[in-house]
Amino acid sequence: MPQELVIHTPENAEIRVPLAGMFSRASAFVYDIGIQLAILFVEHLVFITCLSSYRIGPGIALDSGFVKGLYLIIVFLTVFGYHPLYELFRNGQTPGKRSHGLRVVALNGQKLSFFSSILRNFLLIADFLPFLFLAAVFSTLTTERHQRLGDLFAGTVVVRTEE
Amino acid sequence: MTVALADNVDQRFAASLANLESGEPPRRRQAIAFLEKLGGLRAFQVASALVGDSDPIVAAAARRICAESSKKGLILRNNLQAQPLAQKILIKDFYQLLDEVVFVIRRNLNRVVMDSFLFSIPKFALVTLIFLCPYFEVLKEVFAQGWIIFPAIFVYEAFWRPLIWSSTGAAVLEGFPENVLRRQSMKMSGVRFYRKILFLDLVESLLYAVVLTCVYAWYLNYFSSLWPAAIFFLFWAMIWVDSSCSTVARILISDSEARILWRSGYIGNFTLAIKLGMVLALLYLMIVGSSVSLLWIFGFDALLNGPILFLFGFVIAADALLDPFVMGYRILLTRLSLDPGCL
Repeated sequence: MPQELVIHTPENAEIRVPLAGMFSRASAFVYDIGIQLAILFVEHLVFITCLSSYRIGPGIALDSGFVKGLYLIIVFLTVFGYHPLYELFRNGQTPGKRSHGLRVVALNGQKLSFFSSILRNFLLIADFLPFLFLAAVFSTLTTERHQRLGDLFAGTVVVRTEE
Repeated sequence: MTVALADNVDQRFAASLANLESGEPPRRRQAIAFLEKLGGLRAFQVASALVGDSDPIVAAAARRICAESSKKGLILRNNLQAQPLAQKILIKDFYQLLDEVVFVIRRNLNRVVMDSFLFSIPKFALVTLIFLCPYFEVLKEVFAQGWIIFPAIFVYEAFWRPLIWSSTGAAVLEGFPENVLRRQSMKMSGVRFYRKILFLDLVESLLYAVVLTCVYAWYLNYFSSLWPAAIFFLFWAMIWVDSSCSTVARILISDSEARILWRSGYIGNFTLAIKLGMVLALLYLMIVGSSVSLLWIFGFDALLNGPILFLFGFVIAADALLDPFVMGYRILLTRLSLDPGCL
């Protein structure tokens, strides 16, 4: 009994793709958060534990502003670059989404554009508000294609894959 | 009386068909408005022929009728050959099962929300009174009296809950695409149904009322710990997981003589029950946390420093919002476990 995304092709054919529900999406998101935390932990280990005994180069110590800045940039990229990276280069599927059989696509069924992917993932902050993604839940429940705020702005939708 | 009403609707339907064929825009618009209000298969059949009408108002109304009917699972026979059948999917995991509950509720979202709001008015009134406690000493006194609160809990759980089944439960059933279940939802009203649910749910309701009473008794310092509540909660949960589903099964089956055969391992599945418990705990946390955050954002943080009674207020409000979801879950789970022959 899935609800569907109906895509009309230029040949006037109709393709129906089952939409993903919010609980599968939430579960996939938690899976991805787990992976992100693991990556952050490894990064932390690399920066703090392994490199603490070395000087990186002449005049650059671990506690210098340069290394701290580099560390923060890598953390930022891990947090905000993880989803766009997978969505753009792994056919709209992060590991969490793949494990749950989900995929992010544009409203016309095409692959995501760079801008759409960045926008939908930056708006996760808005979706989180006021606490624990209530805005996302409300938006998913009330919009026709089960879109959270990020999806609405980026023109994307999460569908269920058949494989 | 019923026959006269049916006749009247039939006559008005025939009149609206005549108006649609008249070619006069005001009459045609009036007729399509009536069809939109009427809904159902007959309106769907007529509207499907008018989606490309030259009058944009008529065409828009026809599209709305078709969209609404499709949401409810209606398919026109002539379209059946041209279009693929509604897709059926295998439910592979627990989260997909929860998704299906949301899909069912969404098919009749307006009525589910409206009914659950109407029948949660006692809960919302209680929450309002709780939040007014700091401003009115009388209310504070009332909430400190166990002999007022305890009977109120029992009366609500035992006698009000069956009413929620006949309203919100019926609305959730109407969201199922299967006609047999939608027909069954029409039978969920009247004194006989109320009495049936009252007795079927009595043990579960009373146990739940005991759990709530124990928690409130702890708040009033009648009990020194929450252990009694935890023990009764365990008993209630066991009944809820297993036998309460047979209550729902008796709502679903149209033939009272039919034997209930569990077809799948959903019913009484301990892992599923634990997972649902965890998901519900998260949802409660989300709603309570969001309410607290909103109060803080809008400058009502003085309320957050209120008594522990406020926490009850937040939990009761969350309970009112999650009630239709839990109901939908129980109905879907039971439907998936039932032998189709019983329906």
